[in-house]
Amino acid sequence: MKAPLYQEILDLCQTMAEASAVENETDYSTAHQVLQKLCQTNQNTPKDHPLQWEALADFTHDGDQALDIYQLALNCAEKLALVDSQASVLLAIAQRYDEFEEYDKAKEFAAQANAFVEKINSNELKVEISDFMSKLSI
Amino acid sequence: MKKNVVLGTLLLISINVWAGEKAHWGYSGNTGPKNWAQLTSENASCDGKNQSPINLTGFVEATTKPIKFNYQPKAGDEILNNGHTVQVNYQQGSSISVDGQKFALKQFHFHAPSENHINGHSFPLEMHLVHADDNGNLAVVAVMFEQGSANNELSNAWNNMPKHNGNKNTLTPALSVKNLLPNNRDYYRFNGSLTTPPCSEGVRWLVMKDAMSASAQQISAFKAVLHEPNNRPIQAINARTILQ
Repeated sequence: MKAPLYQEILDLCQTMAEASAVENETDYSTAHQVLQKLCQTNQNTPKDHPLQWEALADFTHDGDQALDIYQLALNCAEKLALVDSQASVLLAIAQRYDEFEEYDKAKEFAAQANAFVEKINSNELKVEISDFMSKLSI
Repeated sequence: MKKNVVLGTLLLISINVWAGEKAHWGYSGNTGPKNWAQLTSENASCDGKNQSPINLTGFVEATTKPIKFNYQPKAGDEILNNGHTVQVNYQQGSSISVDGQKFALKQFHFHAPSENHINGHSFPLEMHLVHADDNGNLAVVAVMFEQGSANNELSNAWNNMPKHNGNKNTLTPALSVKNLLPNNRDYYRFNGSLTTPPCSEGVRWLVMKDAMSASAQQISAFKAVLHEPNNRPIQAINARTILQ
């Protein structure tokens, strides 16, 4: 992923996080729509990247719709063989299922995330997945 | 999903209220859509951020899995005029499968003109097939109708259409709702709400891409029974994505 696109996604996420903190729905929706447009424009082009879909899903309040978008992120990560993205998206899906109190599915996706993270050197993500799995086991 | 169980229960209650005879809301004047949220605290969701209908546009390509339709015509369907729409309460035993979940068809009803728009295009008639799963989660399949040749299945329903608010009839012969679906079952998908009070959110919307046909007379006949357009105005998409 090229740096300008990465920065643009981060800026939009920052805007949404700040808007969410002060419950500014207008700014939140505007930034969400810009991110969505970015995703649409880049979809199926060389610029397509799971990070943009994962960001869009992360900032989608509706859980079912977020899962649909995480699936797009996962498809994109598989296509580009980005193992760290696959692990990250699978963890995000697991966390959504945890929010839904669907613990079996949360465990299933967390285990998949763990299997992917074993293949890469990302201690931060490894710890995050490990912590989440420990919480699910309690 | 516990939250969906609670939501679903509320939604099912709302459908029953919606189908009832006590109508404290309408499509114009003081009880019109602009004031629905203020009519009663139960309608607070009408001011929500994930409301229906919407103008479907700006689609994101996704691998939407085919909806499996299992619609079985059975004798004894009831068609009623509840003052807000004409609704067919379908006999038990028909369902769809989406996301590996089974949703039973409860009822279908009509709006003229269409509530949802597709790429800014309004249709003269829209049918909503309302389904619920065992946990009360709702899925609505929407089918648009363009003006053209008469629709035989619609004729069957319209022949039994009660002319007055509160009246109901039994559909004879049995109606096959499968014949009201387009051959091409490709669809758009988004999350929204009931389009009538209490406008509860968390509804899966599955809008068929292809429209069916209804004659000018069939469309006029429906409008004549309701006396006024029964379409809620388009709502803001806000932070939602429409998949296709």
